[in-house]
Amino acid sequence: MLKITALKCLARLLLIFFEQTRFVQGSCFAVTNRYWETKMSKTNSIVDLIEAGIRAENLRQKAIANNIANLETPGYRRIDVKFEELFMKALDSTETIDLSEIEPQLHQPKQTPVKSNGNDVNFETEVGEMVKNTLRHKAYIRLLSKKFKQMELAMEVK
Amino acid sequence: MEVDNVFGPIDIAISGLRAQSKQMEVISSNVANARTADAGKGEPYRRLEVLFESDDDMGGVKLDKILPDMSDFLSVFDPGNPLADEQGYIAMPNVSLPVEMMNLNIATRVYQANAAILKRYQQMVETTLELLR
Repeated sequence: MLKITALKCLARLLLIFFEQTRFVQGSCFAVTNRYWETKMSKTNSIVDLIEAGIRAENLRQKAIANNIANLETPGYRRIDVKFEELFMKALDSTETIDLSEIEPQLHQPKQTPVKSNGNDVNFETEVGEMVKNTLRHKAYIRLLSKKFKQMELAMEVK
Repeated sequence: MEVDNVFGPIDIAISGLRAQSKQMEVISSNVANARTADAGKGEPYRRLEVLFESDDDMGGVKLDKILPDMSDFLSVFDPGNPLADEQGYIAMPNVSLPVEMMNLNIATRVYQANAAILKRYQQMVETTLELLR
């Protein structure tokens, strides 16, 4: 029983310690750059940011594949993924955000001209979206591997 | 369009691809109807022509409208045709196959050029991303 209480105390201590270090970090940011303090203090880490981006890219790739599969399906309207706008809105808002709560949303833009069979998928547009998506995905993956390399470098110090 | 849009060239190249595929569609319609003597409304098929316009401020190209070619119909002597007039002449579409073939060649080349730009730009961005390694 005593052991458990001791463990709890230790955990609480650790929590307080972490909170304080975070607080110190935050104030440090505030001194150097007010903008980044407001932007970054709400996010957990750069890895979370990249992860959210990669999740959105995955879903977008699925949406594009679906659009191309339904290239000639009568009445099909193309679907798109809305994520960047939601993300920007969340970053600009004042309250704290949880990155895992920002889900990329599927929506039908219904802006492209409709063909005679009620279908509005354009092959070239989808290819362009795919190219963009691939490049964005590549950028995220590169950033993530760079971050991991940094962590490794920090751990290697003896 | 913003100046620092990374994907601007991709959008422009895609607009070119879309424009040329529309052009291709119209050309194939012209070729398919090259001998259509009755396209409804009592006159033969009228050749269609695509007009493009540039999207404002480097936004690529977009389809303006598809207009009928108002040049004269071809008059062909074909007395056996039920549509022929008293002199035995029949009006045929103003489609000229050599012209259509030439336009088809141009459309193909422009499509290829746009695809090449898309590919090259993709390589350029990848070169930039290599710096992150």
